[in-house]
Amino acid sequence: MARGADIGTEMPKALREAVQRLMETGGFEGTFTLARTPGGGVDYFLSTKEEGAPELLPLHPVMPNHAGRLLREMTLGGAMRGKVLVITRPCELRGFVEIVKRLQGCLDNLVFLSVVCGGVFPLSMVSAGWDGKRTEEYWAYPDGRPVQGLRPACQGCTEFIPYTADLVVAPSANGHWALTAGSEEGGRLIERAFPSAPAAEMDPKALEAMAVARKAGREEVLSHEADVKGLSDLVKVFGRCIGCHACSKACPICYCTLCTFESSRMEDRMEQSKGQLEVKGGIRAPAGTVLFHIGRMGHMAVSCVACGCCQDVCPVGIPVSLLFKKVGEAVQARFEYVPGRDVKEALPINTFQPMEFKEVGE
Amino acid sequence: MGEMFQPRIVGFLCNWCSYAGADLAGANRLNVPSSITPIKVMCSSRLDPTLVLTALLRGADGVLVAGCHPGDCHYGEGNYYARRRLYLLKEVLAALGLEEDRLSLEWISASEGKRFADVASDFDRRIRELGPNPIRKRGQT
Repeated sequence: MARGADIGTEMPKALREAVQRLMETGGFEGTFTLARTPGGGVDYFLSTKEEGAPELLPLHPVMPNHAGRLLREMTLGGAMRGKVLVITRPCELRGFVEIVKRLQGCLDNLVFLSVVCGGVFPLSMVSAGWDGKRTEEYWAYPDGRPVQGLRPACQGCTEFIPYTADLVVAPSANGHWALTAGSEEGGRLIERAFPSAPAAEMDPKALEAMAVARKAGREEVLSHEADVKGLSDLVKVFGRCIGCHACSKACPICYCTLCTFESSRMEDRMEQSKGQLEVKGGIRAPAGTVLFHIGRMGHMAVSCVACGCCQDVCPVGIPVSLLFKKVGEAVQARFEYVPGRDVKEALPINTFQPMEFKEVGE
Repeated sequence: MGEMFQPRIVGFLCNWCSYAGADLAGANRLNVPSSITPIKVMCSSRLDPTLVLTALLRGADGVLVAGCHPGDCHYGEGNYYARRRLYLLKEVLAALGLEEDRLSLEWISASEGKRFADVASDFDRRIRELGPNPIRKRGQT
């Protein structure tokens, strides 16, 4: 792997400068990154170097939308025209790779810059007003000290190192940060942008400290309400679902425009409900909320990247992302599959071995 | 419980083999438990896991999916995909602490009337042992 470049200690300023240099020397038509909205908020923008471009805030610790979802919309009709530097978190990149495997997006012309990720804060915290000091404190996370107030999914995220990024911002020794290469393209970009910067590498000690903290965080977040055991727990936790389907709208994997759970098939008509009433004694309205969640797991848990977007948008505070993380991990382990690890790896539901899983059929 | 438990089992049967197998069981006057409600599907892979879940969440005590033996699929490889999907669904159920044993996948060919009767009786017995679907008499869902 090509050498990495030391970009200093002052995050996030150092990162912004690094992105600027990459843009100047990398031959990019544009960059896709978080940036400041005119109203003072933060959103994803596709922007050029021209006048009128918003103030870039690459890897600002929030996820207003899942970038994978946005990139799908932008590349569904074909490859992006011109080379674009895409700056996203590892779970966003993995989510996009999963959607590309479903032939709903295109990786061509995209160069990915990602990060050894410290997680993001919930959207509610952002809309309540952002304290600039929080950003500085946030970037100290390679110590392994847990940052307070992160999304629950991030607190327990053990997949914080990107798999397929061309460039990776990573903690280096002595509190420094390094821009390291994840591909040959990334190596060339670093050489062009930082010909004289001191060499630096990912610090394995920092990664270890983070892994320890995250494993503990994972145990912690999965031990409360997400620890569903059986039907009564499930009814308790999904029983407050109002059926808005915001979780599937925010999900990077759920791409069907004609979602089966929004079809007329799912409407509970009175004549069908009669039989249900006999069996159950009562039907909660809206009906089918448990079916919606478990059904959605059946459809996408194998590709769930545990980004936490679903939980962020839930209006009634269901720990959706933790439940999906728990189920997703179980399913993925059975297929020895890591979503987003490699775009060439087939989706477990799109492939088979003739002689397998004898315990299910036969 | 005062009255004897009469299970309701939904059987999703492949048009090309298992449904014909069930037909053969009837033609041969073999005993098949009346608890099974057969539903013909064109292929076991036509089953969206959601359909299986719908049956279970609406109170079915068991779901039996039956398709062609591996290698015999009318469409080449549908049953292989079905097997993966149902395996995945079983994992989802297990991870949530739900009774995955209420779901079964079997291979039954058109000539195996006897096998259909055996599989159906066996599944019926297993569901009787499991008891009624706990979702019954629960108005919350």
